[in-house]
Amino acid sequence: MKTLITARFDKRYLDELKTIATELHFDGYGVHGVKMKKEALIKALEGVELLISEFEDITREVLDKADSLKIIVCCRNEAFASVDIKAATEKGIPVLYSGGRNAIAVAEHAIALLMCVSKNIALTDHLLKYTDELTSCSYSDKQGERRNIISEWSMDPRAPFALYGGGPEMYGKTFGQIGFGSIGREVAKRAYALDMNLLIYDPYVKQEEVEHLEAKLVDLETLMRESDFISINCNVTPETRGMISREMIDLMKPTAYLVNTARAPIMDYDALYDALKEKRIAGAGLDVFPVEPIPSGDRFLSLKNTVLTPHLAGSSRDIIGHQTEIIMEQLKILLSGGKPRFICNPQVMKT
Amino acid sequence: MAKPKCVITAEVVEPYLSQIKELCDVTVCGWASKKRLMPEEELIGHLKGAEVFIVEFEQVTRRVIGSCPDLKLVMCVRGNPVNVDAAACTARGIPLLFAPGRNANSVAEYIVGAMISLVRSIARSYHEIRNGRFLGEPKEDIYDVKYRDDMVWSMNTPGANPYLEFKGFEVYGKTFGMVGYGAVGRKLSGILLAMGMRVMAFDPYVPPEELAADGIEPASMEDVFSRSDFVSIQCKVTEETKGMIGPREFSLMKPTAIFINTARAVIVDQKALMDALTEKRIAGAVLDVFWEEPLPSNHPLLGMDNVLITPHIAGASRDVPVQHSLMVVDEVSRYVKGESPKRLFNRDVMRNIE
Repeated sequence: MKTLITARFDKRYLDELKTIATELHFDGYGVHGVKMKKEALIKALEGVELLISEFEDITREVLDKADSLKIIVCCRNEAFASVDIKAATEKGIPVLYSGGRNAIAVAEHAIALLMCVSKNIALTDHLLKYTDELTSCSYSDKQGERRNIISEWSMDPRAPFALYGGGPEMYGKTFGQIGFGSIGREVAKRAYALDMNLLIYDPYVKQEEVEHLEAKLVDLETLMRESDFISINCNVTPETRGMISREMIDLMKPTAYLVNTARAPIMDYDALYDALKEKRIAGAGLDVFPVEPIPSGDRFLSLKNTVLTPHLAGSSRDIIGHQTEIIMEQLKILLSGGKPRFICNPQVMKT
Repeated sequence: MAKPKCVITAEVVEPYLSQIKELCDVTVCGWASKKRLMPEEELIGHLKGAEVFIVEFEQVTRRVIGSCPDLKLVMCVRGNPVNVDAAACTARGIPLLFAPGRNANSVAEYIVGAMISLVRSIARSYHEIRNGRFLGEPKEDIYDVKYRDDMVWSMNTPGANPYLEFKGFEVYGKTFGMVGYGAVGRKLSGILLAMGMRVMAFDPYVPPEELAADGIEPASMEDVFSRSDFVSIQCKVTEETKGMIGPREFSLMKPTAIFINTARAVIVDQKALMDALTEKRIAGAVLDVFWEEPLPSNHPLLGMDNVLITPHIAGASRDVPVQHSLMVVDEVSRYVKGESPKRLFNRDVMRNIE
């Protein structure tokens, strides 16, 4: 089976791939870090039966010209963002994807964002390195003999201990998990390990699936009202678009923190900004924004009670290993006549 | 019988303060009431006639101890009562109590957050975008967005792609090595194991069976430094640990490994760490404690992108006072009932009592 691989591929799985595929050709994003252009992609797909892609745009036009193509494996969680699923389905080509490849990376990022904002980790690192606020100052209790006491920075009311300490611990608090898919499960598992009490909102999940975390399935209103830390981990669908509305944000405790590593359209960012600005909630960790890149001068950039990262939650070197492992498993299931779990168009399996 | 007089300058929260007031005649002053440290003279004045003194940050010098003849018990609510002259207490036969592990949750959580922040560039990318890097053109209406199924900052413009520039690694599957397995280590190891990390620890005072029972590999100092992806210092300052981490230890570390110190800076040889960082013999560091605090404004650490620094706040959570307040109530009621204390710091004091 002639194969084109434009995805980043973990070479540890190369021997395994060779038992399935022949004439391996590596190109595109996985080799050069730049997506292949349409014409180059069409040319490279001549005679190719198996395509393992990642970020390349597999449009209807590309598919129309790929006469030999039998299987597409897109190494993304959201294959639909890169592959025209409808066009592939019309041609009877199954599209496999790598579900949950970034679950661990996103879960770690989400938990760390909550810690960074609630413990002022990112803010004080910034203030120390790039401002004089914490270094060029003298404190009343660091004079004379006390100069030599190094067991604390300073107990002065203007010192960082008083200004930036005093955040809450996660231990013993209530964690609200919105969405309990591949990522939500990983986030919830970590919150449980932090000895937190878990509330989970996911209308597609049954109580027995959350028992192992001693979690309670609740409606969204209850979750927003009772949680001290909230993590959003669901896809954008007609159902979830705007789901975290102004009304929902208004239910939050003034001491509560929220992290969004999913997608911006799920939440009303206007309402979130107002709540943060007026200190009606304690803080937010945001990895996703209505417009990306964030427009310069954006009002979120000036809020001290937020930690913003530029859509990095899924950016981990270890993902290449995860995605290769997942797609190799799915591919072997498909080729042995089984029913792969991560397929975008299961309807082609009937034909 | 009259209640014993008790002076409290530590932050003791409700309902625990009220519980102590039922047992003692309480005066709250100093740091506890004004968030200002009482000088020696003023402290001595307040301690007149006091039997019990609950302190947090005030300096309790030999002179203070010597000037307060009624004092029978001093409790410092810190994990290490460095601000109290323990020898002076011992000489006077005063038990000095402390609050071990009061900030173990806080420090353990800080380590998890800061470690991931460093390897995933959370603090650094936060700074970069606040500073204007990676941003797009200003927009009149940020909600005027053409719907895209996917959202990426930029995949094809080199240098404008934070996704590539800040690509980090997961802590899942990596090895975390601890120097010292006390209250923080115990708290932290459970979290790390649940996150899919391997954990090893060096602590000559903890039996290997106990570590193994907690799912931790008992290790030598050499093992911890040579095999870990993260090395974390979690021990107290003692004559034994002062300067314990030097050039030899750093030379054992992997070039990809991260050094973490939330304990005290004097445990680490400053030059050895700075050399290892400057010469890129290790990948980075998370530091909450420094050889001099406040950190001097010209310290080279302030210019290092591969180092996450915070101003000694790892243990500063607002829940810490709850933890130590629980311990204070326990100890005060033991004292009132004539029971022996559970959290005795100056164990040699027992010789001098009676």
